[in-house]
Amino acid sequence: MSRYLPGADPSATEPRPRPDAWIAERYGDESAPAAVVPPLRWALPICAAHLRDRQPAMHRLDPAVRVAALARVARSWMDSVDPLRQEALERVPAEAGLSPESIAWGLDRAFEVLTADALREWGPPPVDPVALSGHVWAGNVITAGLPPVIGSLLAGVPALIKAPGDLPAFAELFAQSLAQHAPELGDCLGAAAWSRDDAAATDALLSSVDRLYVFGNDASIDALRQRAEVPVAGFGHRLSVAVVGEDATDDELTGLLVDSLAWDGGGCLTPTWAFVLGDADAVGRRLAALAPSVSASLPPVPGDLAGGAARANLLGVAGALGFAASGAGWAVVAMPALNLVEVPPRTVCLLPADLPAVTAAIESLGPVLQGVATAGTADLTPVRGRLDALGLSLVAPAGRLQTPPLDWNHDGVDVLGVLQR
Amino acid sequence: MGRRGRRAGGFVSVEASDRLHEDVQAAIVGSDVLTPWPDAQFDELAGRLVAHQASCAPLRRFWAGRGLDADAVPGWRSIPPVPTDVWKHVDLFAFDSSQAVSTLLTSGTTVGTRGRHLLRRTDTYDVSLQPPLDAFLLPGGEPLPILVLGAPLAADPVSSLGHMLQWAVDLRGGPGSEHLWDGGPDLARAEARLRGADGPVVLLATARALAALLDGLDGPIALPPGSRVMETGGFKGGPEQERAAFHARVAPALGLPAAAVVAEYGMTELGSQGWGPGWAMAHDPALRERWGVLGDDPDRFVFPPWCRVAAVDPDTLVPLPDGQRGLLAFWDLANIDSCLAVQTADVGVVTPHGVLLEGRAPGARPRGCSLAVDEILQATR
Repeated sequence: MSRYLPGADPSATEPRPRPDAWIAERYGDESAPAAVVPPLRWALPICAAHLRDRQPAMHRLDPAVRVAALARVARSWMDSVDPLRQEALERVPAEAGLSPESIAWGLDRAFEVLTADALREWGPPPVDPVALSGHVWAGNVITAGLPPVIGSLLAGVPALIKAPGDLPAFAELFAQSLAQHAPELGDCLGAAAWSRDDAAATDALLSSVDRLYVFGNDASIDALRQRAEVPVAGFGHRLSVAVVGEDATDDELTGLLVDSLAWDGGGCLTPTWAFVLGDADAVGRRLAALAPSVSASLPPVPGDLAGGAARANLLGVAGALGFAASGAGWAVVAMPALNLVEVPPRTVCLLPADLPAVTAAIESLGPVLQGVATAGTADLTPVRGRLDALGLSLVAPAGRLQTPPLDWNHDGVDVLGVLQR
Repeated sequence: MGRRGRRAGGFVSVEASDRLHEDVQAAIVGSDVLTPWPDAQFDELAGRLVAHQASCAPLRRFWAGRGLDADAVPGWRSIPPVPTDVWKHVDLFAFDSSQAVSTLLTSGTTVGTRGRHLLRRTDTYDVSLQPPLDAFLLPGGEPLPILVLGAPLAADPVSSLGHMLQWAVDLRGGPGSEHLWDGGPDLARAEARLRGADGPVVLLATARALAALLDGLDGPIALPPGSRVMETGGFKGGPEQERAAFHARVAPALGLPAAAVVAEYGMTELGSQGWGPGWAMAHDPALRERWGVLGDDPDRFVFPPWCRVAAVDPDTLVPLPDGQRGLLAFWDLANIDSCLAVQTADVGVVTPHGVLLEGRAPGARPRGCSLAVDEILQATR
């Protein structure tokens, strides 16, 4: 059992209302053993009711109290000796198929932006917020779903997280960390993991919350939107790219490698392709020289046969037609032409381009483009013009693409605004 | 990505290619298919092949990028294998395409693009396939009726498997040999031929065709003793099915002992094939003594001595020592005018007693929130 559901589970914080209906169904009386854990379809509504009850008190808190509490939680996650972080680094890598170093890097990047200043500056909170928000997380970029949860708590709205069935640890531990490090907020966060196949549990969540933030592919978001009777804010799968001038510095190219190897190249802020303005082969050779140390700091899980096979294939094609280099857990390829090829994990794929070609590529990717990393001194005015027209909100220097600001509103979602009643 | 040709010119002479064909054929014919070649013999021919094949510009570029000097190959393990996907995008042959006498195409069932393997001569291909086929499938040498549950070469001239099966019928088949084909596997005729067999027969089929045959059988068949079945191809793109479980279904359905179901491993990109040694071991105590240490695992394949195999580390793509699990790569001296070193996405372990095949690399690891290219194209269409 990997969940943290205040009000519903014996392991969660006091007081614990008895789940009378479930007990009656299971035992026929009220003599259930104290340690019994109810199934999710019962526990989620119980927890939701409990969190709802807490909302008025949480919302009445001075906003500065909520800011200080959340900043304290963030600091705990960056504290290398914090037991919950340590437990996360023990449990999450196996669940996520990522190395402990990659998870540690992801935690640091997610929580380093969660400062008291950033929380204070994060837009006006809703005046009359709803009572409970729901959050559906997806994928192994475990921290991707954090900002709406933080936004909800910042606004004084308790939250309930559904984590993927095979990735339960981080959501549960994060909920525990709120209880441990921000007791002044009271019970304000529940978390549980279940498979999408558990329709009863999902229905219990959907019928218990006032707003729903959903991460996942567009089909999953649409499916939940049709089932939910509450407003749904969706964050679909996206991709990012980089635009690299051939005069990019070594620091910038190191940043590009970090952006590319983080989350093993599976994040929506991973630059899938890097458009090179100039000599892509030369940039590839420089990246190849820098890659071993970056890969060592963000190592892969050894023995990824599927990733290795995919990398070998792209390395082969690029090696026959362009430039290819690889080492332990990394690859750099420079393709001979601007073809949007499938890029395997932990691979920097350079595509030669000029500004009009980059602009056209970005134009074509517009509907699914999440962010753009830049490196070098090339005048990107025409590209930026297209990005502005697309409403793209994240253009970052290489190395910072994977660390968006806390108040980054993307996918057309105003995270705090959604919570207004 | 479109197919990219090699730059014009730069090929070694036809005479030099012919010399390689003749030398490799002589080495094959002059050796025992069950006895490993000395490293020096293998490396000498491999080095000559690399020097020849490096006249193909993409291949030269690939090898140079991986640090190989085509004129000074220190040993076969130092020759970087070319992934099978590359064959789908790049022409890999060291001769002018107008000299090709045969074009073999990969199945291309998964990505929609078919790789092609052009042959300037087919005789080395034939010389290479013969000894292992004889040793592992037809060790007795008697000309048995060979029944092929597949298309004759004339109906599918681009199939490397079709080429091999046609060769078997033409040069090893006894009276009554035939392709059981009628625009597709002729299952009814196959069942009739098998039920009516009054002496041992050899059935050659892909696993998928064989499964279709079994699905449609009107009860078990008792094939005469000495009969055997060659199964190849796995279940690409179809439902997952363990080879061991499949063989365990085939044998009783056809009234055969387990050893009579012989697996074959081949691909368009390779001139040589691997064979399950079970039938050979059952008929030669010396071979059972030699290979029996691994039992009768139907996923074990033995390759001829002119085709070496290594598992490569998926993280570094460097060949691993025998006994370690990785992605299988082949160094096949029967590939004279194309590329001798081929990297696959098959997972396995190489041992002194054969290659233990686990199947294709497992599916992708847990996904993040990024889009795959096909999703991108769909979303932006």
